[in-house]
Amino acid sequence: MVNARLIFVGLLISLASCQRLSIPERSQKALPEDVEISSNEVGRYGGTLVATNSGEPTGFHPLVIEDADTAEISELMLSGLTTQDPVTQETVPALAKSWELSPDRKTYTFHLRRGLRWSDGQPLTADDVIFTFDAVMATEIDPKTGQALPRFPNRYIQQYTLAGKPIRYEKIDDLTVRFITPELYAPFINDVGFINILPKHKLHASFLDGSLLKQWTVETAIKQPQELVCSGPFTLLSYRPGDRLILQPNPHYWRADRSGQRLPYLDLYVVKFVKDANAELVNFATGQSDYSPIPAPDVGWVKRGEKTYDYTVHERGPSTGISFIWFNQKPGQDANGKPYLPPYKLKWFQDRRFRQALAYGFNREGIIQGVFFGRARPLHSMISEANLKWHYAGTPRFDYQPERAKAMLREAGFQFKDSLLYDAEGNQVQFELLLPQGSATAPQIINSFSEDMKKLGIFVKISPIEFSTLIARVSQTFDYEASIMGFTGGGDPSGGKAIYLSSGRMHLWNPNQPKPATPWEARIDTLMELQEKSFDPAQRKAYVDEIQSILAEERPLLFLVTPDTYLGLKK
Amino acid sequence: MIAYILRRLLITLPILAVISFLVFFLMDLAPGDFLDTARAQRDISPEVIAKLEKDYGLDQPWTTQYVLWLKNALTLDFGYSWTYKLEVTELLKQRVPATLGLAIASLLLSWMVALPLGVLAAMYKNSIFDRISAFLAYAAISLPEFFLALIALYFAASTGLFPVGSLSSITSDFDPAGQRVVDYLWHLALPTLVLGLGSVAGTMRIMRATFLDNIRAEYVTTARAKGLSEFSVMFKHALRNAINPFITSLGFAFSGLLSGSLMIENIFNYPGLGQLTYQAFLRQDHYLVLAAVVLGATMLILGNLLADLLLAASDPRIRLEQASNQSRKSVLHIITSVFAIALLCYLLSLLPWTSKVFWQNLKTGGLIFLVISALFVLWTSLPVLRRILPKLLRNPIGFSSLLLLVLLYILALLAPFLSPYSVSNQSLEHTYHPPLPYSGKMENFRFNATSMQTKPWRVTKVFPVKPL
Repeated sequence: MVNARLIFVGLLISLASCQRLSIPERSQKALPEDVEISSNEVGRYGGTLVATNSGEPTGFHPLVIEDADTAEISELMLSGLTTQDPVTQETVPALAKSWELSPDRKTYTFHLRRGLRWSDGQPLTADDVIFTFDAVMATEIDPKTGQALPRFPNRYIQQYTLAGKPIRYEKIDDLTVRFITPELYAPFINDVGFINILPKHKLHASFLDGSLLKQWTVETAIKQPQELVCSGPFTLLSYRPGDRLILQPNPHYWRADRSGQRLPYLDLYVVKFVKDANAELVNFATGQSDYSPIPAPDVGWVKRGEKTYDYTVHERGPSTGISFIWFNQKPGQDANGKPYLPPYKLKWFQDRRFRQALAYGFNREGIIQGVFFGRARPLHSMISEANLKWHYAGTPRFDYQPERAKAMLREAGFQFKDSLLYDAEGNQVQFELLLPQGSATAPQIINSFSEDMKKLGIFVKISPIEFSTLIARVSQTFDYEASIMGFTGGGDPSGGKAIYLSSGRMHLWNPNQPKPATPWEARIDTLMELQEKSFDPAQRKAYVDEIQSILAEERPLLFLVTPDTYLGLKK
Repeated sequence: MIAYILRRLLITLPILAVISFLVFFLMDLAPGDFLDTARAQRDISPEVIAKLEKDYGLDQPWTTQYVLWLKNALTLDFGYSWTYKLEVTELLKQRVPATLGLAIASLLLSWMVALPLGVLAAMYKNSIFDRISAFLAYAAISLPEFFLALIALYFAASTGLFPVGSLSSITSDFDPAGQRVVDYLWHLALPTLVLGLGSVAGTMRIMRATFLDNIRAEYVTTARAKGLSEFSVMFKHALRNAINPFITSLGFAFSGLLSGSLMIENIFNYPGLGQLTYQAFLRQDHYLVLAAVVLGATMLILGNLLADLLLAASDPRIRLEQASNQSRKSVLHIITSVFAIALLCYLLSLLPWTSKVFWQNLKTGGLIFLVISALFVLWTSLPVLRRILPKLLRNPIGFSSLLLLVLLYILALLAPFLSPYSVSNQSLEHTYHPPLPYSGKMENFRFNATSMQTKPWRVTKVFPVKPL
């Protein structure tokens, strides 16, 4: 007993004796000569922002990052050469002040801001940029096969490899770096900013001895947060897994306001880790965090607490993500010679009229009213209307017209018997729809869909399934008939090559095609290539518009709805 | 004595090997693997995934992976966590203090409340206090822990008197040490209460029973006859003897120190070992799960050993060497049978017709097993039932409670048919979901749930840096 009490007290003391932190002082370090001046209103220093997140960072190394939660924290701490304006989606300067494109449109010269420094005071120069790209593109020879393999496997390699050839880059002087793309590639300005620049003076040793990817782990963040040298608005003050992460302003950040005060204004940025998205919402709605995204169906009840906890719910317009139901169109058979799909079903799913008829017979307005309480709108294109730069409003629309749907099905050779639908060969039209777990609105949407399908005489069997199993079946074994999924969106469409291209891995309805199976998929492949090679923004937009029109017309994906997004902010 | 301890410790090694083998096997049966999240992202190339698969050894059959793991584990290298890219032992070490704090606090609470209450209940047997405490104890025992935790959370959220989960306040890092201790205690209060309450009730009832036994014993009569004061009879003689069984139970409490609070930690968002393990399970982070399971099993075995040793120390009549001869046999039995089961599982998995589907459909077999064991229990308890049934039926309270019990059992049996949702319509992620403080809505309405989406990180690239 006594012992237990002693241990307990000892534990408490050890918990409490962790180094006491102090609120960081504002140091008046000189601004870099090429500081970026924000166009926003001048504000005042001070304040703590408490954010919540249901996912925790699993590391702090930009090359290792696998998930969005980790990337979100990393984005606060590091900068790339360029970045995107969140509203207009235009590429804007970050660490690079300006850039030039050579007449042959393959050579890019980037000028870094003068006077940039890492958060530890070391200068940030072209050497760091070159080091970063060296780390990304490094290869090693596999002793067995003699093949060149990535030395530090990471997601950027693919981004910076065009038609099988890596980009080239060289240092001109301390402030200038030149990039040469092997092919014409218009989105490069945008893509070059994807990778955040790494500090050479901290990571070069590990690059040489091969342990680069083992640096900047969670352990580093816990024990030596100052080792994580930053170029973004914040630096790490402390991190306790499962509990919280505290960021402080970077004393050498490269942005300032009009009165010459270095940004950011916040004294502390605290990220509190909670169990799930729902807990995030509860934390916000009970006044324990300062901001939180609010899902459309929850807006009603969250708004009720506005007065009590002194926050406001702001509407931010449609979500950038898209969601859809799709059918398996993969021809062929598995290793045992069994076709992925019964051939007659493959025939339905490959028939454009079938897909279009189902789109006409699907009452999305009902979902908007019933599931989202009116806080959503039908999705008509592959790119959500939130993506102002790339969305095309002129795509064909398939609004709810059940009679037309039936007429189209008859036209396509289907026939109704006793209000059930049969194809020309007499097979009853029914399919199994895999419903991944982890979402509460998806089952409601699917139920609504299957009711609508019943009116067309189609029977939909709903099978709940684990998300990871779904991914395996959709991308490896192809033994499924239909499913529902979503993509988060935004950004340049060339980032979605894996989806658009018929050879893509995420070309969901028929991935990894050796050559395009249909003329329209071939056309999309061509358009994707064209838009990458075109440097005229209007021309690129026109190509992407055509892609959207084709996808909307062919309906390989039955688009669902775009919920509105809401953000709660404490005053 | 030392030989005995050594022998017991030596036996733990094969047990741990078998346990880890089973865990590895079961994790292999689970659909998908750790890289599923990466596979679902559109900008990670197949080459990178192939390289990762190779690095993690996921391209090997699970038996090869297991042998490799076992070999490393013998040199105390338990691998590293794929999620955190960090030594597993390091990760566990970080989380131990929080969990240990919670476990010890709840143990202290349950003993400090339960022992005095048990003594009082025994001293004033059949008084109104005894009845009320018995009633409350039964109520506490029958309330499931997770339900209690949900209620506690709801209470915390709606009154604001206690924090809704987590280990400390946001600002605690900036507070002086004293204030920080208070803050930790404040955060510990509810989880401790929930975790301790069940055992308060149980411990109290046991204390009452042993204390009653002791005050009826002859030595108490002797002590009274000697003219000792009632106080010294009760607290110096009877209490000392009555507390003996609890010294043994200290050993068992030890085994639960690190693994007993998994559920509570998850509900209260308390960053301890349990939370870490649970998340590792969901993410299929094999080595982390294995290390946590091995740690739990080790604690259990050590706890049992400790209990035996404490018993021997507190009661001179018990000789370990003698008992060990019997226990050695039974331990050998256990080991051989577990080995046999593991071997059988493995052989079965080799047969072509025992595909994964077979294993995943094992729940039907589980149901049959359940029915058989229920019948067995009924059969063994039949004589007892026959004896007490007439008495129960004559007593109106007994009769009505029996009726209620039967009704509950029938309802439980029919639960799958009565519930408005299908049994398969549930997700592990929502299992421990606390209710919302508003309007009692318990559903997660997010369409953009992480698992639903293939989140390309790039979207977050556009984070507005604006003064907020």
